Amino acid sequence: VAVLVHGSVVCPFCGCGCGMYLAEWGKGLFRAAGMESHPSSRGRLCYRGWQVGDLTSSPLHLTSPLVRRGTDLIECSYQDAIAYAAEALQRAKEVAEPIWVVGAPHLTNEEAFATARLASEVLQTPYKDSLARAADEAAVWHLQYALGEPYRTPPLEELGGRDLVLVLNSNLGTEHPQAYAWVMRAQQRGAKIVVLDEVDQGLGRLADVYVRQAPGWLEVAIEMFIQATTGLDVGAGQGNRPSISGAINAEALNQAGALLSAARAPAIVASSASLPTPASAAKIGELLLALRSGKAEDAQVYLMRSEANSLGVTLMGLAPAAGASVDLEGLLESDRSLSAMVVVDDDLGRWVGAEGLAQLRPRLGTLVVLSAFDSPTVQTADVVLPVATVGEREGSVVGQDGRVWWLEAVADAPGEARSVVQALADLSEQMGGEATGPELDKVWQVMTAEVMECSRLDLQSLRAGEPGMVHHGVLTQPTGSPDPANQPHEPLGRAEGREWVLVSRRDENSWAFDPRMRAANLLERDLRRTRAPYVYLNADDIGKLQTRAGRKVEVSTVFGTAEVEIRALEGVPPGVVVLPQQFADTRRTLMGGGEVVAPGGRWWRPVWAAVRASR
Amino acid sequence: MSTVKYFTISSRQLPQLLPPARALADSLIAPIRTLRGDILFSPTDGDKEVLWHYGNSLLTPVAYLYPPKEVLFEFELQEGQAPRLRYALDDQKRIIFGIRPCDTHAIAYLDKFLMGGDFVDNQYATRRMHTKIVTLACAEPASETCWCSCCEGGPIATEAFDVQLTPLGEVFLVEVAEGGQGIAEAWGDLLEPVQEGVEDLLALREAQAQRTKEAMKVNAHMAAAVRRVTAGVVPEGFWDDIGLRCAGCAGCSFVCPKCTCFNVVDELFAGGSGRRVRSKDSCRLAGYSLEASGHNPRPARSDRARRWSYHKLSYGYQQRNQYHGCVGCGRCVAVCMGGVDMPTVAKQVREVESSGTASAAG
Repeated sequence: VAVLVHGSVVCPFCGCGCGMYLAEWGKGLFRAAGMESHPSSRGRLCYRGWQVGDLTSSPLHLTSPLVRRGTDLIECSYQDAIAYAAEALQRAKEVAEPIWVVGAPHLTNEEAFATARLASEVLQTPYKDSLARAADEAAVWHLQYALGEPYRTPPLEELGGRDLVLVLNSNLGTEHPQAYAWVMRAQQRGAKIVVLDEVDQGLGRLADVYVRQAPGWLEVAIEMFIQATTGLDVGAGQGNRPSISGAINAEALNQAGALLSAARAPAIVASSASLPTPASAAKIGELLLALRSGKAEDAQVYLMRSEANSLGVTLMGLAPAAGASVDLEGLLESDRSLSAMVVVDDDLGRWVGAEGLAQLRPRLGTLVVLSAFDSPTVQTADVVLPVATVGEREGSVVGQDGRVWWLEAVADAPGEARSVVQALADLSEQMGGEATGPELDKVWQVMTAEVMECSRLDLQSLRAGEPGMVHHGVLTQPTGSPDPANQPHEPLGRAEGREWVLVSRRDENSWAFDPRMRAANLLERDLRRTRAPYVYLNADDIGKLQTRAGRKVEVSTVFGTAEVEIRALEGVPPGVVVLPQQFADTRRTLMGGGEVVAPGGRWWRPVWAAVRASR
Repeated sequence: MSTVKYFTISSRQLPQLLPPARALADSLIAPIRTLRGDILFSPTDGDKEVLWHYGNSLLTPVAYLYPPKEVLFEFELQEGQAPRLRYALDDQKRIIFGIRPCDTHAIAYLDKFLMGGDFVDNQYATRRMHTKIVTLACAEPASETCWCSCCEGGPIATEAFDVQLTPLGEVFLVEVAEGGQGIAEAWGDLLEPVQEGVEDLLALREAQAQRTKEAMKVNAHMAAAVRRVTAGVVPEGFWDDIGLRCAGCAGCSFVCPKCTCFNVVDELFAGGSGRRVRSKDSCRLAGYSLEASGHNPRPARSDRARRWSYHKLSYGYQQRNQYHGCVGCGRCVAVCMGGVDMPTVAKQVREVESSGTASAAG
């Protein structure tokens, strides 16, 4: 045992951005510890955060470059892999089909900047993006559209001082545990908690008022809250409308509306990835304005980003140029092809499922993957360059509140793995271009000179442990108009025999397909049995189907049929079936490719389903 | 533990204790402040950076004896041959300097749990044998979350230390146990032997300890909670509420100096070599109790919350191990997402109405 290294990093998973130390307890044996001085995490970490140390110097780390020979990926030298990738990408530039460059939402700012520069300067493609945009940016943009000004999530620690917290359609305990912790602290200090959700995954039972709305009715429910803040009796005024009376618990809504009207410093909290449509983000903005125009001038929205550096990677230019769109589901639905794709430290299977990736693969052209860990995307790549992961690379990240933190390296990347910045620089040089260069400090100089929001950041201060702050600039806007939907998104495909409503939500296993999870032995142990698709029903409904939890049911919708395991969850309302979002392939089978397509993202509307116990 | 001698030292001379102590060991581990202002126990050569007045560290220094991750052995596999195993016990000489009484108390428990039964944990035992403990007693609550007064974990250590330093105004009382004689000798003239008036100093220390206990903001009456859990009068529904609030992070276990659960994995490297790694685990995690058949006897968070709490609160465990399951360090208060840390649970166990359908301890 020799803890000689205490490096500080930011958790690379959800948008909470918790600070942590990585300590080495023996050669290559790292473990995370909470950082009490971090203003929003204060030493707390979630079950993913405590395991982050397992990623650093993991024995599952990719250590050797790989190139495809026929059906096999074979090890090769780093130089050969760079040369092969450069040659293939050069060829791809010369054909008509586009090249897409996709970066992970957890890349550091420098890595994201270098990735964007590779796309624009060397590959000369407008199709560059991070999957943060699908998860977060579209919701943020719709919120901004309603507010009429740039939006940034306030510091999480301020949540603890609120007198009312309204949680919308979000399972904070597992999606954003740090936000959950602050909500719990606010409650301990006397704040009222109101939960508005189609499914209660626990927080509803802890709330002062739980308002259940039928799937697809969130926007309408928020609209009724807006009316409630102006003193309308929403139960009397709207609840008598037949379409509403059955969809929203008007009595609870009135109670909640009364609490909301009385609050001086209320907070609205929602996870961007759990909002059912972009219109709901816009509605949240309208509610905020309504609250601020009343008694609550200090009302705030805490729209929680689902990915670690999703604000940062977007600021660094990892977003498509005007007119270009990097939409994996759209590509899947179309018959379009790419000439090549570069994936930087992410797994496409995490977003479109393993089957979706297999369907896409023949149309992706040359696939160059930079990755720290094995994944379905790595397995189908033409060239794989191993890269450093958390604890093995330096760099900065931007929290969802705009604070900038420096990540320290506590170990060298193993084997032939290089930093993302180095690998991209080598690739650029091989292709005859000069994107950013391999030196981190030079990348920093170029980045802070070009990205207006970063111009006041000071590298030395960041390295010394001081947080920086990005400017409040105008965030990149997706092209097109916001979703104007102001009516319920009624479930799709009603037909005789389909009497259940299927909704897609995040659950506690939503990270099961992140390849990094397999490197953490406790997470791998806990998540291993959650990778086969399952749905949640309440226990009574399972009984009505004359089956029991753990067995399988057949679910049929207008889109297709799938056989899945059933699990019992107390807060699922009668007649509702919840499909966890991470089962992208099953979701596509049962709910299509995302029926609500709005600038920057796709949303899956609820669908009517037939459910019967499998024989 | 037999205390052999008492000394005093002026608080101004404290930094001078470090170089002679360091000369006795391969490494001296002491509380330092990181760039960001956090307190961490770390091997250090810089006398100036060692803290003498500090709130307790979130990462327990007990981890230097029972680390959150360690290699049990390395192996080489060759076809047709028996695996070759290589054990490498950690016999580095260490002094853990400035450790708080609560953590010292945890070491006393670990000594019994990992070395005092039918099976001896060789990794722990080897490290323990080569480690000296210099405890820094608390003259005031080390942090707002301290509650050792309820758990007999402090503010003065009663065992497992080799030397204990207690601030008493301008001087520190130096209590040297049998294992600390070498350190005391190395300190030589820095220490002023207490020839007379030991009782007065101890009375002063006791009065100070009493004031420290009274100043603690967290007060949960562990013993009363133990009685209620042991009597089996805590209703089942109580744990449902705790489970509902628990975020399932297992942070309480990962920071607890007394939690000993671990997981073991074999890490394989190229060429047939590998190592068996033990890492800290938690009964708060779903996979911990998951059986190979797929059955999980503690499937819900409430089940696991009860299990964890009973391990801390049940008199059965106390009888077996002779210690409370908690030292009152308050780290779980700092890290708990849902506000259902040990003192909160103990307090609520004390206050919850009894039920006829009580949950059995254990």
